Amino acid sequence: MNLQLTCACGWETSGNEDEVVAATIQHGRSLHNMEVTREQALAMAQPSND
Amino acid sequence: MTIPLDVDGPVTAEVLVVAMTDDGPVLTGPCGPAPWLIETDRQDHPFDTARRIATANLTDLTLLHSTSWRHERNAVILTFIAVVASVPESMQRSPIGRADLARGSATSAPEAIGFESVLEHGLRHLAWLAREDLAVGEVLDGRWHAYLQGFFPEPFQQLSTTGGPK
Repeated sequence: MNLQLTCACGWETSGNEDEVVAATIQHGRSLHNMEVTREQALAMAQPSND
Repeated sequence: MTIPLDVDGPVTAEVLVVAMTDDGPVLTGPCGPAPWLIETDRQDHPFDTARRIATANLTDLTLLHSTSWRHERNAVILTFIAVVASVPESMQRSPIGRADLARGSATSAPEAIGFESVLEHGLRHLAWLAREDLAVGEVLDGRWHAYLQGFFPEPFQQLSTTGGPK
């Protein structure tokens, strides 16, 4: 199942679980100085319509 | 319901990325033409964090300066103006217009502060810095100085005895 996740800044990512988690961790760290855990990313992700 | 990824913590840095283009000043940034929010760690100086993240994400950073603070989102929001020399194609941009400042009373903060007011305050602060701070004045090009000139009222002019102002 593919997932999608949206940042409050408007950035979006979608893909499989590992891709969404990796992209979210990278986005949070590099742009917002946030340390997002895998669990946090998955908790915010939604099933993708793709 | 989607829960967006969002910053947290008692102090948040808010970076407003601006650039001067042939069409005038624009708001831009890696998250689009909008406030760019950055978490700050309790042990780190907010300016150091903002500078580190801004430098890593903005290739042409010319100036970074704090311009205001406010209480919002249950946190202190420290606003920074970041001037970049150019806007990469990958970053969206939006023209900057003038706005009214948010006003409180003589002893109280404004009840609400819209983003446009925060940006206006930042640009007024930048205009003041451009005049008063040599380091800032030197890194801003002529187009910025000309634009920021509009943030100051016309000075009183000396009246001549023969008619109009000199």
